[in-house]
Amino acid sequence: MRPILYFLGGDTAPSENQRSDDGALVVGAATPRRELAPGEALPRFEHDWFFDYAYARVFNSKHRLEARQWAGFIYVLDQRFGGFAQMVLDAGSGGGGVFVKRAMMSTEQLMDGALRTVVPICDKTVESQQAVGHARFILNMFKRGDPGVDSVWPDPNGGTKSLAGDELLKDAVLCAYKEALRLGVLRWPPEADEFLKMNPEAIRHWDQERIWALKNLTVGWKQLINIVVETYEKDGLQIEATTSRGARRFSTLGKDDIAYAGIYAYTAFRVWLQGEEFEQPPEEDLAGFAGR
Amino acid sequence: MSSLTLSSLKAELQPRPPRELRVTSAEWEALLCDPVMAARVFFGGRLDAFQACRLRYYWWTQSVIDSSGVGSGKTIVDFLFLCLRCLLIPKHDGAIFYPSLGTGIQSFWDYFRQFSGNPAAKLFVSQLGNPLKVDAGEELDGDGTVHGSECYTAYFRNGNKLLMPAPSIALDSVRAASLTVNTLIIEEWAQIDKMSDAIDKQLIDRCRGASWNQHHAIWGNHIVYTAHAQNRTHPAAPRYFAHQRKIHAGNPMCANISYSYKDFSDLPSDAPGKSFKQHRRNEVTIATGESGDPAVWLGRGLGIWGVSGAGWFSEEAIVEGIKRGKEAGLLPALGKNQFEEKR
Repeated sequence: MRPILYFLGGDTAPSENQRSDDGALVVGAATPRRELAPGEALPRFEHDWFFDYAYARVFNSKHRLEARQWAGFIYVLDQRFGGFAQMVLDAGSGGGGVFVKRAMMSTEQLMDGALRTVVPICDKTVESQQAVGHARFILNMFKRGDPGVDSVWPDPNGGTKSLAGDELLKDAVLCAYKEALRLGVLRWPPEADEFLKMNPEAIRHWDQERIWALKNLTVGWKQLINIVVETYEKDGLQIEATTSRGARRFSTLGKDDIAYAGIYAYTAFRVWLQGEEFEQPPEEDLAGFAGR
Repeated sequence: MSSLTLSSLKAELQPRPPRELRVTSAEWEALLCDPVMAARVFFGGRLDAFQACRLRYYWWTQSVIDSSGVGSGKTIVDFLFLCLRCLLIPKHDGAIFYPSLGTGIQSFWDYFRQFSGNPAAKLFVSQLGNPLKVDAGEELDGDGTVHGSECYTAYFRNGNKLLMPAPSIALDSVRAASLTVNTLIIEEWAQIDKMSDAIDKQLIDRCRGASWNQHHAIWGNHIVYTAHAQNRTHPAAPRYFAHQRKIHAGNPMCANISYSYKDFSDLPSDAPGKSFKQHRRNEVTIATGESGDPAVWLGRGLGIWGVSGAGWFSEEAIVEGIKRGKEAGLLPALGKNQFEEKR
């Protein structure tokens, strides 16, 4: 049998206040590459897994979501996918991720328009653990100093310090993602326009949301192609430009919200792999099992 | 019977230009404050909304870097701006530099020929003056300007002049050493910065003419740099970003602007029955540019200072990922049950 675990990545655009008006959420599903024997431990290394992109949703300025609504939608997804194993939200300067994190700490969440009582989802910082007694500490903020992120990409000089700069973290994560791509870990659904045209019968009963999820995932991998590393020419060769700390300089030719949400979902998977939770085989009621 | 005085006799004997070629002082004040209206009055031409915006930026800001993409109408606005400054401001000379004189002759100076033959631009043509003499090596051209081997010059009746000297970029423009103007345009400045230090060593210093109020948004000297955007590793990038830092620091006398072919609107143009978008936007050229290197098109076509670089994720690897997903029957799902139902 092969367990399936779900991970969420979220990229919220800069916002001047709690109203985060643009962003994307992507759900990925991790499955071991081979069948596991009963009682066998889960694989430890990322190349022994497949990471499948299962869902993507974009919110833009037309939706005018508040942080509370963002948080509520994350809880809805958490319910739909049977509980995420880990999630990563962007915490860039001016980003809405910090506001969403705070909204998620509440036990009352606005889910599908209705107020519901939930077990809050919090990050693993000491402050959050002190502030909330009973919670699921599966949230990670994509920044240095976050316990989950630091556990995967610590300071190479050892100790408990974080990486020296934000650009080093970005460099490390993008390298890890590129390695996952090279090792064949990542999988996407088919290209949206082609699939919708060639399979009208298959999508006859699909929700609009599901059709849009397919379109968003297609846009997501196209945005990945737009991520470039800055280079300069020397002696006829293109050399990667680096910062003073030795990190590559990345930029995007166009939008990158869905692409980065997908990268954060994979980051959540890496945080989970590194953490303690997976060392024991998961219980049946915490992860989905799919027999073949 | 009215008495005849010498002054009234002189006034009667002196030929007066027709009313449509006269500009009263009240009209002059209004034209001085609205360059778009001045362009319409003097040249009869119609500007698209973004071109009008661009002209206003040039007019009211003393240092402007225009990084607009190709085909966005920079040169015509340069021409209107420079000519209007020479027409409306007393004791005011202007100059424009191109990387080579030949380029300037073909792209900029040709507008003199076009407007000389345009009946709608009769007010502008009436203000073009002829020099009292033409030096050896120069000839008075049919467009009303003087064409020399080293410099093209347009003289105006108010005594101002507009020059387009040969830049001698390879020699850091040493030949421009004695030139003094009030308004300076440096076209294709990114190319000049790549070739030499001419801008820093000579050209900027030419914009040193005395003005009525050097700190005034209109009266003060102006310098405009126009060229499409490049990538951030280009030799011209430090100048652009230094200018950007001044703007971020709050300097009101600096502006960085950028437009592209996408800004042509549906407003009616001078071509009968056509909008600016239909008349000016060359879709074939745009399609060719878009199909090339995206990083280059970002600067050339869209006027955005982006990074040059290599794609970090290869398209082939991503396509392989899609292929693996297809083999596994991967489809998007709204929840766990839907995702696992066929797996």
